[in-house]
Amino acid sequence: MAILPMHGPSDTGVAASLVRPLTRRRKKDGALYVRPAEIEAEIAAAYMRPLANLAQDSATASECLLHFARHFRPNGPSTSYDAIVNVLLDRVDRQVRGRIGGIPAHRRRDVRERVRDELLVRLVGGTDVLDIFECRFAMAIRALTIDAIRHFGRIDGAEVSAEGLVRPDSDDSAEDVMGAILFKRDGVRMSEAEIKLELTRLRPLLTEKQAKAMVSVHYLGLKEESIDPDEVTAATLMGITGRMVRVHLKAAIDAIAKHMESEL
Amino acid sequence: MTDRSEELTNILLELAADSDVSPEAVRLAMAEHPHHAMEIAAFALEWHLDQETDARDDVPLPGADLARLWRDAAVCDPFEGKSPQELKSLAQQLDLPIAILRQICRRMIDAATIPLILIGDIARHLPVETGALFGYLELEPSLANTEYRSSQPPQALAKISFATAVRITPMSDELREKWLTLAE
Repeated sequence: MAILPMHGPSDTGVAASLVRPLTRRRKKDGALYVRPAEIEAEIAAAYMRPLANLAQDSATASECLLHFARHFRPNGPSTSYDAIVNVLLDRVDRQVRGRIGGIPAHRRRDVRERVRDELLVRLVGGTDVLDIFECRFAMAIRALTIDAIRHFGRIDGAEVSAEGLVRPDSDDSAEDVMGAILFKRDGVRMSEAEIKLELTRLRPLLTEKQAKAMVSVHYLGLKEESIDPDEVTAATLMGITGRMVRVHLKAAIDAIAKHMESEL
Repeated sequence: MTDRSEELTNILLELAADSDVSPEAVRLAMAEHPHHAMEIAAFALEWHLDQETDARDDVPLPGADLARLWRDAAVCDPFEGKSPQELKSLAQQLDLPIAILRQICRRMIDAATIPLILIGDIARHLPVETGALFGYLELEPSLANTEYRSSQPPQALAKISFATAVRITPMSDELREKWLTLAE
């Protein structure tokens, strides 16, 4: 969106004072959430326009729309306020739809409605957690989407047998294969960014169970299994035995090794 | 949504926003919320394996009930009790012609066309919640300035845009340019 020029020190000061710091919620370390500088600037610039213009501008950041949805909540019907909220909800739905192609068709609408409702409930309650949305809106919606998918997955009991997914024939001794599955390069743990790239590269080679076993054990650092029934392990997480976790890890190694061989 | 599920969802939101669901943050969250440990780990797993899989052909959702977003408070006139002198003083502080402020008070200007900085500034001076002021300005125009004939019910005048009000109200060229730039 176009950043409008300020009209002198008084307007600049007023706009800045209206973009109040987020003070509702604190992080674990006690620090307040702080909007990225570009979001702060966009909100300040948005104050220099009418609400009608914001709803029509597709370039307006969602964090900015949310700011006005939080602070301009009327006491009664308002078509222009509804327009802002509807634009925001359309964006939320677009983002959710971009991540639910893999779930059963009859559940997609449930997930979409649940995510929308989660956001509306927080707007109605004026909850502190909206500070997080005003900083990283897309990230927050992604979290709500995964949570909603998991919610309906639990209701449907969506688990498949993993026994048939094992590929027994391949060599798992190659150091680079183990490096890949352990997220190491030259014996050193990869950085977070490298791991994300590696996961993206390896994900198509693996079944869902293999990928889950690999990330649970070698990325998140969970044990394969435990004698403590209350401990969260890869086995309890995946709802399978420790032996099956190892089977999936072995199969993941085989799949990666086979892929690497084919690349040679 | 139950309190427990809201608590869990908020934990997951923090995990996503604060750390991008790093293994260290996941372990800390699991230790801090042992009753949610399984859910936190499962969420982390999905987060890192989550892939974009499009379902853009799905039908649109029915419209949301946005009436639930209205503040739980009666609409009241935030300008009530303000004397003409106080309104004049407010107009000066806002750098706005008093004639336009009076039109705003009477809800004769479409609130959606008023620069947000002006709404925020008026709310700050009154002082009232910005949303409460905005909600008031969105109501039908006041009947105080209506044409009334005894044989017909009173008809409120149609609202005008803020930019129109600026164009038809006497003021300096500099001031007019300032408000028009903000309004358009």
